[in-house]
Amino acid sequence: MRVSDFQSSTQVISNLNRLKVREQVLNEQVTSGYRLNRPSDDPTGAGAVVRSNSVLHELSQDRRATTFARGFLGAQDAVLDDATNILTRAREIATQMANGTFSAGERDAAATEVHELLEAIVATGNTSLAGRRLFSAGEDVVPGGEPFVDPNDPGFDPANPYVGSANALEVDVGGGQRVRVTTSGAQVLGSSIAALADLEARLRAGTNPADALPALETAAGDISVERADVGTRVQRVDARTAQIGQNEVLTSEGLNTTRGADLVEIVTELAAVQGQFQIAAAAAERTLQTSLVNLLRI
Amino acid sequence: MALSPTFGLAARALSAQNLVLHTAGHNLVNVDRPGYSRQEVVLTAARPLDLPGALVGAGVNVKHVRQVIDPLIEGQLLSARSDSADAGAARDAINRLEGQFNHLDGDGLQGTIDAFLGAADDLALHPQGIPERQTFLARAEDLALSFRDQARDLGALQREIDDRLNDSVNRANGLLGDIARLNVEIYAQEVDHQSANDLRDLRREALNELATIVGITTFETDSQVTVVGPDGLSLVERNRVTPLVLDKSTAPALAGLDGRNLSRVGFSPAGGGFVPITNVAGGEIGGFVQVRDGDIPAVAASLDQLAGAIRTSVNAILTAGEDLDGNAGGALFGGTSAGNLSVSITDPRQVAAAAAATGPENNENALALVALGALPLDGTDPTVGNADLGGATIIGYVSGMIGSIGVLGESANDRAEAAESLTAELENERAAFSGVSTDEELVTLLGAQRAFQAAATLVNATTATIDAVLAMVQ
Repeated sequence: MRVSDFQSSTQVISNLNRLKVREQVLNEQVTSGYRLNRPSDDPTGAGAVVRSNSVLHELSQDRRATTFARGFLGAQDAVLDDATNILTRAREIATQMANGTFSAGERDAAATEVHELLEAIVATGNTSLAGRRLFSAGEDVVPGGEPFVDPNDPGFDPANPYVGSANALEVDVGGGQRVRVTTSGAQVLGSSIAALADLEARLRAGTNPADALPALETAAGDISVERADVGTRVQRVDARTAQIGQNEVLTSEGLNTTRGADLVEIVTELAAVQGQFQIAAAAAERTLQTSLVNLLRI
Repeated sequence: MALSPTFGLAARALSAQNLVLHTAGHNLVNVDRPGYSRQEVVLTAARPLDLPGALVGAGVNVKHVRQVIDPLIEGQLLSARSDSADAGAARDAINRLEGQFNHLDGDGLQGTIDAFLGAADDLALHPQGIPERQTFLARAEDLALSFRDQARDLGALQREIDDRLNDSVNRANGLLGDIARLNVEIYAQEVDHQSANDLRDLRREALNELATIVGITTFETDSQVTVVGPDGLSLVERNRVTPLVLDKSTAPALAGLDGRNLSRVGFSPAGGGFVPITNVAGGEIGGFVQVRDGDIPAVAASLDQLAGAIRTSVNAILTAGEDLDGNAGGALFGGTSAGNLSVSITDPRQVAAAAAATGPENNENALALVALGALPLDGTDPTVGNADLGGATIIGYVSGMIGSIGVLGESANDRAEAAESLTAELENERAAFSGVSTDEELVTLLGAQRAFQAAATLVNATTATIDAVLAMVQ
C-alpha cells in the first residue's frame, strides 16, 4: 500500500471536518437546550413534539374553560344561598302569621315584607356575573331584558315569571367532558316566586298564610336540589382542573424527554470532541511535517 | 570494438535520466492538485549492438511516459460523484423544505390551528361576545394566511430549484464542449501512440465535474471518449456535442405550484423541436428534479388536503347553525386549495355560534367546532362535510406531515452521507493509487540524479579512454 501526500492532507481535512461538524451539532444542542432541533433529527419524535405542543395548548384552553365554569357555578351557589335565606324568612313569616292573632295593619306589614322578599328573589334570579345572566343560559345583560319580570310590573304573572332563555350553557372542559354551567331560571326559582306571591296574596286577603307553607317547602326543595346539582358540577370541574394540572405536568415532562437535551451528557461529549480535535490537529501537524524533504541531501 | 557507441549509450542514459528527473519534478509540483494522476517514465533496453562475436547492450531508451491510473477506480468514482451530487442537491433542497415546516415550538401551522380552535372555545364560553367573535375571525384569518404562506413558500422553493436548473444545464453544456475539444486534441496527440497524459487529466476532470451535474456513463474509442447521459442520450461523441436544453412550452407543459410552467430537461433533435428526458437521474440535476417534481408536490398535496378538510368541516358546522341575528350560518372559509384559502365572513355577528333555531346565547355550534379538534376525519361524517384526512384528527395529520417531512430530511441526509462516504473512500483509493508521494518522488529524483551522474562519469571515462588512445598514437 502506498500513501500519497494528497491522500494524507485530504484525510486530515476530512477527519478534522467531521469532528467540527459533530462539535457544531453538540454546540447547537447545548445552546438551544434541545436535542431535537429539526424534524429530521428524529422524525417520530418531531411528530410527538407537535402533538404535545398542541395538547399543552388544549390544556391551557381547558383551564380557561374550567376557570370560567368554576366562577359561574360558584356565583350561582352564592345566589342560591341568598334565595334559601329568603325562603326561610318567608316560612318564618307564614308560620308566625298563622299562629297568632294579628291586626290588619300587622298583616299588611307582613305582606309588604313578603313583597320585598319577592322583589329580592326576582333580583336574585336576574343576577349577572361579568355582564352575563346566571340563570338565563349566560346571555348578555341587555337593559330591559331581565329574565325574570319585575313583581311591580303590571304584566307580572306569578305563574310564569320567567321570560329568559330556555337554553342551557355548556362548557367544554376537555377530556371529552362538557359541564352545564346554567339552569333555566324557571326551573330553579319559578316555584319560589310563585310561593312568595301566593303568601303575599294570602296575607293581603286575610286568608290562612299557613296554606302557603307547602309551596314554600317545595320551592325550598327545588333550590336545595339545584344547589346539590351545582355542587356536583363544581366537583366535576375541580376534578377536571386537577386532571388538567397533572396532564400539563406529564405532557411537559414527555415533551422534555422527547425534545430536551441531556446537558451533562452533551457537555461531556463536547469536551471529548474538542479534546479529540486538538489531538488530531497536533498529530496531523507532526504527520504532515514528516518528509524526506527534510532528510535527503540531494 | 569502437568507442563511439559508448558515447551514444551515455547520451541515451543522460537523456533518459533527465526525463525521469523532469517527470519527477512534474509530479512534485502537482503534488496537491486534485485530480492529478502521477506519471512515470517507462524505460526499456535499447536494441543491442550486433558486433562481431557478440550482441552488446546499447543502454536504455525511453519507451513512454505513462499515467498511473486504475480505470476501474476511475469508473466507480465517476458514478459515485454523480450519486453524491444527486443526493447532496436533494438533501440541500429538502433541508430548505424541512426548514419551512420546522415548527417544533408550537408555532407555524400547528400554532395557528390551535389558536383557531382555542378561539372557537372562547366563543363557546361567550357566544354573544363581539370581542370573542372578532378574535375568532382574526384567528381564522391567521390560519388562512398561514396556509397561503406555506403554499407560497413551497411554490417559491420549487421555482428556485427550477431556476437553478438553468445554471446546471449551462455548466453542463460548457463541459460537454470542453470534453469534445479535448477529444480532438488528445486524438491528435496520441495518433503516434504517445499518451497525452495531462490532457487526459483535464478531460477526466471535466468528466468528473459533468458527473456532478448530470448522471453519465463513458467509454473510450480511439483515444476519444463518448459520454452517454440519461435515457441513453449521447451527449458527446468524438467532437460532436448534443447540448442539454430546458423547455417550458412544449406540450404537455409541466405546471408549477405557482401556476407558471416549470422547465423540462431534454435535447433538440436534428430535425428541431424538443425531446424531454424522461428519467433524469444522477448529478445535481437528478437531485433537483426529484425534489422539484416529487417531494415538493407531495408535501403541497398534503397541505391542500389539510386545508380542504379544515375548510369543508368548519363550513359544514357553521352553515348548520345560526348567527347572532338568527340568520342561517354562512361558510367561514373560501378557496379551493391551501394557496387560496380565504375567510369569507367579515361581520363578527355572522359567525354561527348557535345551533339552528335556538337563540344567540346558545353555543352548540361553537362547541361542535371545539370538538372538531379531536374528531378523526375519515370522510364518512356528514356533520363535518365528509371531510377526509384518512381517519386522522387535524393536529394528528399535521403531526404526521411534520414526521413525514422529517423522514424525508433524515433519508436525504443518510443518502447524502452514504454517497459522500463512498465517494471519499474511492477518492482515497484513487489518491493512494494515482496520487503523488513526495517521499517516493524524492527517492526517484535521487536515483535519477545518481544515474545521471553515473552516465556523465561514463562520458568522462570514455573521453579519458580516447585521450589515452590518442596519447598512444602520439
